[in-house]
Amino acid sequence: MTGIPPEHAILLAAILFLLGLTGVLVRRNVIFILMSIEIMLNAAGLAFITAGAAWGQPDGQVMFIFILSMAAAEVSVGLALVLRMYHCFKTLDADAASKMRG
Amino acid sequence: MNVIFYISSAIAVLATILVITRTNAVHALLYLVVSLLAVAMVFFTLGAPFAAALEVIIYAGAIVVLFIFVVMMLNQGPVSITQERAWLRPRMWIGPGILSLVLLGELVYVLAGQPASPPVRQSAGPPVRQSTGAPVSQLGRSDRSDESDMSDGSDSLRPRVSSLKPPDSNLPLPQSPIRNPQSAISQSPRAVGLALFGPYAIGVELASLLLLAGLVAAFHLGAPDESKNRKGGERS
Repeated sequence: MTGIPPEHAILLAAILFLLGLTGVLVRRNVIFILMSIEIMLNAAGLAFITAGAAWGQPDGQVMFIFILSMAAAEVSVGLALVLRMYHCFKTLDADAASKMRG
Repeated sequence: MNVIFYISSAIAVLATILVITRTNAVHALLYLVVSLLAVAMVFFTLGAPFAAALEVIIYAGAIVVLFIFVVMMLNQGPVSITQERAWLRPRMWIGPGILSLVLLGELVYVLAGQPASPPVRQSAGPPVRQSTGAPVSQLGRSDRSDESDMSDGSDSLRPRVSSLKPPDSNLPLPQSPIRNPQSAISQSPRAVGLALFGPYAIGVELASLLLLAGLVAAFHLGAPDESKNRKGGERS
């Protein structure tokens, strides 16, 4: 409220997004990949909120709510897929599901 | 507020680093909760208390609980931790770390390359549009009773809808209202709700459709027996 520069908040969003991206690239466990995707979505929401605060408009928070609902739907489907994958392969390795055999 | 912002952003970054480096899934989830709470604090200092509450309730309350349930169902033990440690060799970090650092450097360069453009443009551009005044008037109206509140909500929506248009015509940024305490308070849940069910009503419909699709997909993927039997039937 009192003079937080929008650049710093955008920088924080960028750092969080890149940490999430690094997590997606590095980890092989599917649960950690999903967690990193959550971090990235959260960083995108932070960027929206920052922009909305910088312009004094509520639209940033509206977009954050949309991102939130999208993240909830995504994580429910993703975790259901993780459970199904664990039942099929008995592992959480993302590379175990790299072959398509229908 | 400044100090709180910087402290909570440092906590968020540290907790996120710890999230992506842990080998135990439950520890990573606890650090993820810390990171989300710190980001909620950042939202609060940015003047978005409704988003902060939603962050705590939905992210830290619902999504992380979903993760914890799945981790409980998967029943990972010390074996998975040693396997995770074997997967996380230090040279795994080199490539993604370098790529992310390059991206971060570019972002910092871009952010530092445009020094304080909003005030310069604002002094050169036309006077500040009325949208900074509209939410303040909404704040003043919110003190009335509910009936007049609802009747005012419809026509206090009009300046909002019309104030969404002018940025196309006069693109210059308004004065950065973060420095203006009145308009920083003005991002109340009321303004968010008016925007959400006014110009963004179709987005709300689409979000509900998306959530319904997620529900159906999770139900379909979670039902174990049918496809197992079908697959067994195909095999045999």
